[in-house]
Amino acid sequence: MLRKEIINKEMGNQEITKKQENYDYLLFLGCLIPTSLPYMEIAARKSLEILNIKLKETNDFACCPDPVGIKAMDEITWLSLGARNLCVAQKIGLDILTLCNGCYETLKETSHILKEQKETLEKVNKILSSVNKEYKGNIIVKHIAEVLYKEVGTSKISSVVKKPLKNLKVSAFYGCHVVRPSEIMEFDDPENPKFLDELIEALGAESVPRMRKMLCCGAPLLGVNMELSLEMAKNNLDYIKASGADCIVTLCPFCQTQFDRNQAVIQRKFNLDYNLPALYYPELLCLALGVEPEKLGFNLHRVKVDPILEKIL
Amino acid sequence: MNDKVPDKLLKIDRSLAQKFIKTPGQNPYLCYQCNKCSCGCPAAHKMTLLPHQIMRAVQLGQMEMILDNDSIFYCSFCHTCLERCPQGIAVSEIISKLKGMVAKIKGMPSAYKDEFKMIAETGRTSPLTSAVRRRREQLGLPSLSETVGKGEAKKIIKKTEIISYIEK
Repeated sequence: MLRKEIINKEMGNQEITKKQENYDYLLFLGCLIPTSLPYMEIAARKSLEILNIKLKETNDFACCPDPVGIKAMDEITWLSLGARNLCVAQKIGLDILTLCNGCYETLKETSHILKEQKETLEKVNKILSSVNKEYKGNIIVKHIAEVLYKEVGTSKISSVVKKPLKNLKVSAFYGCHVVRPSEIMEFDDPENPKFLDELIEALGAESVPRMRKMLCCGAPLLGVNMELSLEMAKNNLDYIKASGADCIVTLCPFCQTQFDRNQAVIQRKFNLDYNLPALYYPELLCLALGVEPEKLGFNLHRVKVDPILEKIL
Repeated sequence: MNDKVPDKLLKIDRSLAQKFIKTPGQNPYLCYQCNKCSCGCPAAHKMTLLPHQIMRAVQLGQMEMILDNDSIFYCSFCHTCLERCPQGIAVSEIISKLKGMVAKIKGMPSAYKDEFKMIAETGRTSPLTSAVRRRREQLGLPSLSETVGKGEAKKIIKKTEIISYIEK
């Protein structure tokens, strides 16, 4: 089935935003990935290019914004800033593809709320009129993993794998906001999702089970309560280590920050030694699709990825 | 014998619960204290006022109890409570709104203030330093513009009431 037909089927009679024939999605980079974690961006771009998902780009997107802090401080500001981004997509005429769980939750939830609550939409549009924008409520927001799982599909992915990742044991770290709140995200089960495990197995690797699969990484607390944030990441690292996994695979730059950048901090603080490389799923995908590791910026990882590369190449 | 009960415990103030009741999934009165939210909460061990106790405080209108306590700011907004509530209450969303109410009374946490300021100034929450630019160039990634969103985020923030709390 063609992508368009699938969308038609999924969306029922809903209007399809896609108007530009040459592109599939408008890329929403977010803040953290392009500035602090560019290796995630490279892998996302390369894997989508190989799988023939065409992305259009724009400079008009601003921060999503953050679904934890900004939303809590003032919901209407959060909705208005999110709706401004949706207006950008509306003008270009493409649906949005995000690389981050946070951007995904904010934009998808904003789009959901503004569709369901007419009064809120009016309020938001009144604020948006100050920047000459009006949201009409028809933008669909997807996470890169959602496009890979639901549109490309695991069978297509495994059919194009050039280097099956045999002997690699992977711990799938979903992150909260890719599936929760499930009533809005409608992606997978909020307590026991399976899609990432299936995406990992499609590459020939083994997705190993662990305790408390959906325990929060703690990243949203980094700015307000560092100690608890690191403790939550530590608890996850304990469960992951105990599962016997060789590495962690994430879907979100916040989880990635906790497990890659902050792993050394946690090791020092708790006097432990994990040595667990953390990879963004598209990085693993790129490796399986035969992209040379030198092109993926692995040297930017804080926890060395070399043992993983030696194991699979 | 001192049998005087403090006045504030006798008064039930419904105005706090009323602030949530109209939003779908946020009726605090549906909570029957089963404790499921607190059992699943990854931050509960740090909280002195647990999620189900916060729900009770909202039902009774005990805003002071919430203000006297920083427990709500231990919430990482993971939505486990929202998913598990047998009454379908979005506990995490109620706690999120309480954070905003408390911030408007006691002051906004500096991390969130900085976030708003960064978005207003550049459109992003993380800085585009020259080191970041260099690294992107080395990696063959497209160059990023200094600011994104044409300064419209600033105009939006200025238009909403939050601006007075950011500048405080």
